[in-house]
Amino acid sequence: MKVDELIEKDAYSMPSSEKQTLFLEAMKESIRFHYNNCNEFKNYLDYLKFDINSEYSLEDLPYLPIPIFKEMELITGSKEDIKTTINSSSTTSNKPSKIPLDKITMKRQQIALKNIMSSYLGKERRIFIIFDKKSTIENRGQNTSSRASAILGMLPFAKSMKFVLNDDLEFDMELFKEAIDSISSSNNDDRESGEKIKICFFGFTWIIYKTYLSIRKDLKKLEQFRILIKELSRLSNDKKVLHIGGWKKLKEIAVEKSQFNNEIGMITNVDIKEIIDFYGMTEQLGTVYPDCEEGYKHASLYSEIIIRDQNTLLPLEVGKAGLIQLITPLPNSYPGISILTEDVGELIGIDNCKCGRKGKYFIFKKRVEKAPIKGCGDTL
Amino acid sequence: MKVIFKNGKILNETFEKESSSQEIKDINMVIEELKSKKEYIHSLKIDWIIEFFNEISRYWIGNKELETKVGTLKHLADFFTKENTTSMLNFALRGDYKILDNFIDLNQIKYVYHCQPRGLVVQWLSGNVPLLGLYSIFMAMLTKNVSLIKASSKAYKELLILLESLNNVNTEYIKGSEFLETITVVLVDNNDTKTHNEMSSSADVRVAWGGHEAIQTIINLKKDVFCEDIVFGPKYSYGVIDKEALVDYKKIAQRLAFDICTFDQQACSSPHTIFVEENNQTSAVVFAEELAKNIDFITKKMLPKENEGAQKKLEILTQRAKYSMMEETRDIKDIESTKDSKVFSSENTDWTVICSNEEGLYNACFSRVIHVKPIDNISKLKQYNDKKKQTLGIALNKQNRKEIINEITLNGIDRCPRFGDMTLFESPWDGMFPIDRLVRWVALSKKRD
Repeated sequence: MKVDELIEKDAYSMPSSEKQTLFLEAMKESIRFHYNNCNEFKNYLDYLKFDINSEYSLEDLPYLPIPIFKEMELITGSKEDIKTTINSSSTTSNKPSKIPLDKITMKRQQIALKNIMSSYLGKERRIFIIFDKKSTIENRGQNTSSRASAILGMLPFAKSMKFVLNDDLEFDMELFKEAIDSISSSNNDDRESGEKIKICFFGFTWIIYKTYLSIRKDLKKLEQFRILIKELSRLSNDKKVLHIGGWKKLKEIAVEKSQFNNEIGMITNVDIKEIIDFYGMTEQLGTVYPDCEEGYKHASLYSEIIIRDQNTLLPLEVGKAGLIQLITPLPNSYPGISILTEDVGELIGIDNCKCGRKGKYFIFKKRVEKAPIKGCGDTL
Repeated sequence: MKVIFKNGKILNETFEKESSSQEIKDINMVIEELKSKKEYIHSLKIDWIIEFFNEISRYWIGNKELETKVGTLKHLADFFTKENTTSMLNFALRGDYKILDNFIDLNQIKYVYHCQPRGLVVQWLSGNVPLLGLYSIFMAMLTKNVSLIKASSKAYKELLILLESLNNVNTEYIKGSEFLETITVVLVDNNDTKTHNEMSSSADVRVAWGGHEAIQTIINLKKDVFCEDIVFGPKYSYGVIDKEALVDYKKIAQRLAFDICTFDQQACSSPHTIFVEENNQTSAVVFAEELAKNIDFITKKMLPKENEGAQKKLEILTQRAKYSMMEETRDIKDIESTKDSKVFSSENTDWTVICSNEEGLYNACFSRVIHVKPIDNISKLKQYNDKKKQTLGIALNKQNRKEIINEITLNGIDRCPRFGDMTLFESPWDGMFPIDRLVRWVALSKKRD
């Protein structure tokens, strides 16, 4: 399929004008595939009176509102082909999104993620210090949490993974010390092979910050942590912080991105420019949007972004904020190829970011606010 | 905390440039000022007050300038005509409204009775239906109470404009501006628990309009042990059409469309689900399509919809996606009508009619989203009714309609108006006579021979 050709190409080197035709062709093929293999998707397009054989542009593509994945488990093709179902963290409601993945989708996502992330992390594997508990990725069965999925997605970039939180999701100094010791001993081996140690702190944004707060409030712990970080800095001068999962929980405690970067950068001794917040969602794994060196998020060759006016839902031009629509032909086992998110973003430019990556680039602004019930009427 | 309306004057700079709202620190001064007007309002005869409201009604009816600013005033004006007010008071006060002035013999053996005002009525109004609050404000005035009103910070303009218009009304015995001294409107931050508690504990009657969260907060405020509560909301409403009435489905759809469009379904009396007992000629889906046409017409020509915000748009789109996806996946052999089930909607997110055969009530989405469902036995509605269910809009032509309503309203549902009248405020409301709760009954022994 065209999507498989697409993901073989470099993530960020193709200019938009060239991408447009290739991407649209892949999307048209994808639309036809899901229309013919997902009854619900077919019904939806029929309801919208969308003719899959007509001439249409990317802006004309129908989108699924993202909460639909909380309401229904949508499968394209056969249920027997589903290898795992990803459950979102359900921070905004009690219902998680359920995303069924088959082998083909998982493979595509892995390739896309590898191509995208290597543009930010480099080709060499890093030692991942993970702010999570090890059990998150163990005993998963048929269902995978979004946290497990995010951690497992980093495997291709990881030389090894060191988990530093205990089963109660609390920072464990012993585990951290063991991680540093192990890095230190591997350093001796690496020195012989001439390989430099590269480190990546990784975790969900709110977990990293919660861990930071727990360390900060305990002076003894803070001092121990500093000593270990100093040791780590001695071992490696190539350290990054990679975090994911959104800002909702931090907004609740009024922590903005700049504060997060300053505080986490300081305590981990990582340059602020090396702190990468990446935007992405369970509903479209693989196509993620990390911050570039200029602080912007880029749509890779494997996905596209459209910003829609919050009132009219019409596409907006560069410089205007609206709802983020994300488009990708990657999914094979569910019809999440074009989704309207609950996030507000702003398109900053196309092809001309100083970081050198081509394509549309944008910033994430906020989650749309929940509309309160204003009258005397109520739900059930 | 701000005072935005006092002594008949709007004090908010947002739409009155010459005056400015009064930022105050202590609500108790406002309360004391209002209490000082108790004697004045008590001295007014009920006939004078009724006459005054009748004049307001006349002033409002057809007042294009005012209607341009605040929307249609017809029902509000109709409600406060002399005829309706007298009837409402008589109905609520055991047959003689003059009981508000004097001790009246109600044909009881030992006593004659008189209704005294309770005193200070503190009213918390809700956001999107600010004009509904006028009913309780005027009822408080009719029963000779003074009112401290906490308006919604998001919607108070129309309310103040209408209150201010009372300055233009003078009758032989009541001067509008003087009468307005018995009302003060304030804005209080939701987090200002201290002020809310002070208002609440000084109240003789608390009136609360709003959704679940708002009402819960108000109910939990400190209050005097003798304080009476009148709670409007949070309620859910729906409707039913029997197969006999369905013959006239086009007219029913016309009337129901008004109930749906008025207040954008934010009112407690707005319908969210309509059950249709299908007949040989008309299925639920045929009715749904007719309803869609009428909502579309009203939205375009009469009652344009307010912008619902991005989150609500997503919710609407999700509902549409969900039910349109379910269309063919349903087992059409189960119920004959199912094969017709459909989503009807505007191109934008203005309105949505969903016809499905899902069991039960639809969890309100608001914003002109209505579910139409077939029902084979109307008695089944009994299982859905509890204290939270308020209005059941009806088109029932069955011979035994009273028996059916009696059966299904045992645990809930306070009113069963015909479609088109669902959102029209009336008394009793929410299963009670608000007027009765605004007064205190005094019994006086009859003179013995």
